[in-house]
Parts: sequence; structure tokens; C-alpha cells
Amino acid sequence: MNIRLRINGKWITFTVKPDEFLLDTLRNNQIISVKKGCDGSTCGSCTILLNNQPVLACSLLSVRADESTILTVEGHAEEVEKIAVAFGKEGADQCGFCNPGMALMIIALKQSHKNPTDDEIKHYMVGNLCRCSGYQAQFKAIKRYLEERL
Amino acid sequence: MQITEYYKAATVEDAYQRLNLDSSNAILGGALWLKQTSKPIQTAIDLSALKLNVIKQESAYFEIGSMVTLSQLYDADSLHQMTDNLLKESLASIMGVAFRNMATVGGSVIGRFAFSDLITPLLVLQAELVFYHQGQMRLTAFLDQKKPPKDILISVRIPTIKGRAFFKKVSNTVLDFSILNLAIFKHESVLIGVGARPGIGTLAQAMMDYLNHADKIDETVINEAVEIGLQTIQLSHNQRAQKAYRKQVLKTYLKRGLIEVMNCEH
Ligand SMILES: Cc1cc2nc3c(=O)[nH]c(=O)nc-3n(C[C@H](O)[C@H](O)[C@H](O)COP(=O)(O)OP(=O)(O)OC[C@H]3O[C@@H](n4cnc5c(N)ncnc54)[C@H](O)[C@@H]3O)c2cc1C
Ligand code: FES
Ligand code: FES
Repeated sequence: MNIRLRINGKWITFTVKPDEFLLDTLRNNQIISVKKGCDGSTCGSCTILLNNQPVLACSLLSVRADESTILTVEGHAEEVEKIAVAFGKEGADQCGFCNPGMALMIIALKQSHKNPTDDEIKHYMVGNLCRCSGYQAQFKAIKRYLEERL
Repeated sequence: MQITEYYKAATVEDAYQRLNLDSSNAILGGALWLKQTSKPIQTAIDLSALKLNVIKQESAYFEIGSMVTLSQLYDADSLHQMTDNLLKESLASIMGVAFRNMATVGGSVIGRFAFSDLITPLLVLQAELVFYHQGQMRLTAFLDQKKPPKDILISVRIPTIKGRAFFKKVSNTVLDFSILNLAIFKHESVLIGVGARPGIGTLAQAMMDYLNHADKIDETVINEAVEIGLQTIQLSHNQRAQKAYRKQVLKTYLKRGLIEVMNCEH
């Protein structure tokens, strides 16, 4: 089946199988910033923005994304750069595998909450796991980014 | 998950006909659970063109379309005002935002998951299910069906009854399945639901009967009600918790929850 996706501003046509998931469609076509962690909707590494909403690409059938707008970190380079600076300043980076999914989640958080409280930040980010960190440095980095102390 | 054919239904009748054409045809909700399953699907039927992703407020009930996502339900503020945030709290305990943007109410109900954090509060809110073929039935009746017929869930109806509520999910980690969940809803009478026992959510009928016939509610009556609950609610063990642990947890939260919703001094 053919589907058409607007990925980071560019329309691309893909041929997909009925049981193909969007994460595989993207990664098989060199969009590899979207990470495959658990492949079972539990870790958040594969988070993308679909029509501006965060979803898990590992569990979204590609056919269902037909004619949608998709943003990965490459499509949000400016914001992602700021998030990276905040992460660096707080020492929140380790292996970095969880970062692309987390960055997109942080962008979605900023878009949906004006001044999120600490609890709102934690609640919003709970689905993004990091196997390296203890989350404290990332939490501080998210606050730094939202408060624009870069 | 293996799918041979993907089919986007044009009408509910069309979806129903397709569903019943082959025993291995299946409806797609958010497909998050289906993804974890290994039984091959001949035709996966997508309902997303059927406008079932809407929440409507009628005078007697809220109508929640089966394709409404858990996030949409989480944002249904007038429903949460009526139910003292019961559903909102239970939904907040289910995975993260990106997950809830995909998982549907229909899939969560039809899945009849024993660990469900949604079914337990829906039980105490006296939810009714509207099926395309079977018509309207109580959620309790659906859960009692041994092998439900292949049908399409159109919506879930929640009667507009204002009340006080308590919800508790107990789990080993924040994102894990429940070891036990508990929902209490009090309006003229009190309803108590317990899920992940590890059996599927059920109403604590004997306990509810006792409380709803008591002349007054005080701590002695609550203690007695909790004892009745512990004797009559079936608990068991699985890899997440022992029966004895569940019993202790249930005892604590039943008492805490009842004191909270019954507005009674501790
Ligand atoms: C990793 C993971 C963790 C989870 N953790 C929790 C948790 O902590 N607490 C909790 O309560 N839940 C949890 N769940 C369950 C989740 O919240 C959903 O209930 C579940 O994914 C089903 O919803 P879905 O939209 O994905 O349904 P699907 O997977 O699409 O469908 C589930 C079943 O319902 C059928 N179906 C779907 N819609 C209809 C319809 N309209 N009419 C007829 N049949 C239909 C499908 O054919 C299928 O048999 C978890 C699920 C996963 C995958
Ligand atoms: S890879 Fe999708 S949630 Fe883990
Ligand atoms: S930094 Fe390694 S998984 Fe998060």
C-alpha cells in the first residue's frame, strides 16, 4: 500500500505492508533519530510528533499515519539545540539514546503547558524512560530549558 | 502482530459485516494491545473514519465514543467535575501521554483486561455499553459474558450522577500494571469496585449492601464493612503479588477511601 507522509516539512511517499509500524518505515528510510527501545510502547524512545501530538512510532501502524504531518528532532533543530544546551549544563547526558524521544516530548510539553509545575513536568515526562540517568539532572535541564536559562 | 489486509470501514454496518466475515478478522482500537498479541489477523478493520472519537454530553449521560483516546477522556473536564476526578486519576496512572494519545476507550473495555485501571472506575460509575448489534447493556453484564459475540462497541455511556470519589492504583513501579486497584463512588448510595485482584474488576456487592443499609456511617460501621469486603471480595496471587499482600493493601485503602468519600472523621 502507498502512503504519503509530510516528514519535517517534506512530503514523502512510502510503500508499506498492512502490519508495518511507523518506526520501521521511518528507520528503514534513514530517519534514524527515532529510536527503537522496547518496541512495545513502554519506553518512549520512539516518540514522534504526529499532527503535533506525541505518539509512539513503534506502535502506530504506518497505514494509519497516511496524509499526516510528522516531526522528528530534525524538524525542530532550533529547539532541540536549546534542549541540548540545557542538558549539557545540567550534566543530563549519558548515552543519549533516550534524548530524541525526550526532546520531542519536552517540545510538546512546552506547547501544551504555559508554566508547568514540577508535578506537571514529571507527569508529562513519565512515559520516557532513561536507563542511564537518575532523572534528576534531566528534570533540572527541562526546567532550565523552559525557563530559558541557557 | 501479523495482518494480511488492512480495511478502513466506511460505515459501522460495513465494519460489522467485515468483522463477521472471518473468525480471524479484528477491529483496531489504538492497536497497542493487539501489537503484543501473536494471533494472526486476516483483516484489520479501522473505525477511524466513523466519527466515533467524540465525547458528547446529553442530559442523562455522557456518551464516550469507542475511538476516543485515553488522552481525550483525560481532558473531558465537565465529566471529571461530575465524577470528582475519578476517571482523571485512574487515567493518569496509565502509562504516559504519548501512550494515552493512542490507546482507545473501546479497546480498553473490549480487551476486558484483568489489570484494567479504567474498567474499575467505570464499574462504580454504572457505565453502560452501546454495541452495534447487541444494543445497550451494563458493563457488569458484558464482563459476565463468558464468550462475548463479535460485535462493535459504539460508545460507553456514563450516567450524569454527581458524587464523591476515591481511586487508588497500587503497583510495583509507576508504569507497571496494577497489583490492585480500587474505585469508590458515593452519591445517594456508595459503589465500590476492585480490580487486578488479579481477576477482572468487580463490584464489592456485599460491602455495598451493608453500607447502603446502615442507619449511620461511622468508623465502627466502616471497619465492619471493610471486614465484609475482605471476606467476600475474591483475591488471589500472580507474579506481581501474593494473595496475603493484596489483602493487606485492600484493607488499608478500603478504609482510607471510605473515610474520604463518606466524609467521616477518623
Ligand atoms: C505496554 C502496555 C501497558 C499497559 N498498561 C496499562 C495500565 O497500567 N493500566 C491499564 O489500565 N491499562 C494498561 N494497558 C492497556 C491499555 O490502556 C489499553 O487498554 C489497551 O492497549 C487496549 O486499547 P487499544 O486502543 O490499544 O486497543 P486494541 O489493542 O486496538 O484492541 C484491544 C481489543 O479490543 C478490540 N476492539 C477495539 N476497539 C473495539 C471496538 N470499538 N469494538 C469492538 N472491539 C474493539 C480489538 O479487536 C482487540 O481485541 C497497557 C497496554 C500496553 C500495551
Ligand atoms: S520503542 Fe516505542 S515505546 Fe519503546
Ligand atoms: S542517557 Fe542513556 S538511555 Fe537515557
